[in-house]
Amino acid sequence: RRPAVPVSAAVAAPPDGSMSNGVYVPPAANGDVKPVVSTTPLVDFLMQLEDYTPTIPDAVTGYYLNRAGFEASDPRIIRLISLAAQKFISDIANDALQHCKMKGTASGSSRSKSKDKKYTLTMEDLTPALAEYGINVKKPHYFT
Amino acid sequence: RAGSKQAGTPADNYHLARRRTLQVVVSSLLTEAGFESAEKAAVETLTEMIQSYISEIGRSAKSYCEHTARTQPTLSDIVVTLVEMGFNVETLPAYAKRSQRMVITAPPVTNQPVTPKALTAGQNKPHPSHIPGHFPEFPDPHTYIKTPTYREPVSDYQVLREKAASQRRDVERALTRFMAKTGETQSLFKDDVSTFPLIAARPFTVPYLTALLPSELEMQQMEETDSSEQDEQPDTENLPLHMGTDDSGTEKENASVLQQNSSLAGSRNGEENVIDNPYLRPVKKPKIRRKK
Repeated sequence: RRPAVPVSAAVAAPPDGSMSNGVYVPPAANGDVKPVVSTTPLVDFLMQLEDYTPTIPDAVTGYYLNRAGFEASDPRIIRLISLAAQKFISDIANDALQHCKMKGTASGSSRSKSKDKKYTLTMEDLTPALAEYGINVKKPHYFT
Repeated sequence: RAGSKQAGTPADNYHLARRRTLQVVVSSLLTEAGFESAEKAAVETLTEMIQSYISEIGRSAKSYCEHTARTQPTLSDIVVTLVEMGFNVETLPAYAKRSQRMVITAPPVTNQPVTPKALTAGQNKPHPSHIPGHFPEFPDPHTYIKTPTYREPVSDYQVLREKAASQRRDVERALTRFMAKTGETQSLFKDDVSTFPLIAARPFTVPYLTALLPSELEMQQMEETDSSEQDEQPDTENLPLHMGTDDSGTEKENASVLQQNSSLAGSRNGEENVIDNPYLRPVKKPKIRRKK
């Protein structure tokens, strides 16, 4: 049994199998199985997290987590979650930007005049971007 | 969780403030991505998404944590949650170090409204032992305790006598005025009728008749003074003269009846079956005495 690396999550060592940084790895039959998820980088990352302040304030994230029943003992956990949420939204935003750029240059406008920098996020760009994530949004038809 | 506009309670304002902060965050993320402007509906959509994303992470991490018989969520719980939600955890550190980071200020924290000291009165009752400490306090004692206050009545002899005397004077005046207004009046002055009205005298056709015939009252008194003491007789003679300003027979009789109440009550102290009310006494027929 390898000695367990001290991590923030203390997990009891299983009787057989190996421990790798807090993640229990069952003995592999073919021996080639590597743990897909290892918390090593995140553990280190968590220590560095105090330097980076995420865009979402801790109070706001903590408020929504408390509403869901999640009481955080470590403020760095809250920062991690807010970072994850931020990344989620910015991924979607980047995808929408790609859509917007594609529509702009699809008609073959001249490259000399680089596409005007004013990109506006519209629902027409957001809908296909979200559809790739499996989220279907439908704008209601407005009756005039 | 609907993001509808709710006005009023501090909890709603609290919720609204945080939602607005999320909207600002979403807008800053969009700006980072390269957008100059965005549709309102798109921003609202993303805000709703980020809010439910955070809530879902919280709920799911808590569930995983409780699944392993723990109460404090840890890093592993969150990692597992993110993986379950389809989030690539390994890209997170790279994202955190991106260059164009923006920081949003947190919404202001408002304290709970405290009842101002000036309005509290008295000591609140402390919690009995069966009530946990985090429950709100009992209200001020004046809300459920009533102490009626009585002002001590004035028992000064002089003040009481003055009050009694003025009251009697007012009663007499009111009564005579009432008689003057409802009955016939004679006036002192020739021209002015209403200023000093006098109750009109009603002359009898045979004026001396009342003097000759003893009234019912006097008959009874004569009978009683035969058997009892004679203390009350001067009182009953003086009091009819005190009343009114005329010789109206009915009024005199009423007055005499009123005084007889008080005098008879005194005169029958020695007798056993006392009936104070003259109307309840058995009828006494007058004895006709022949005088020569």
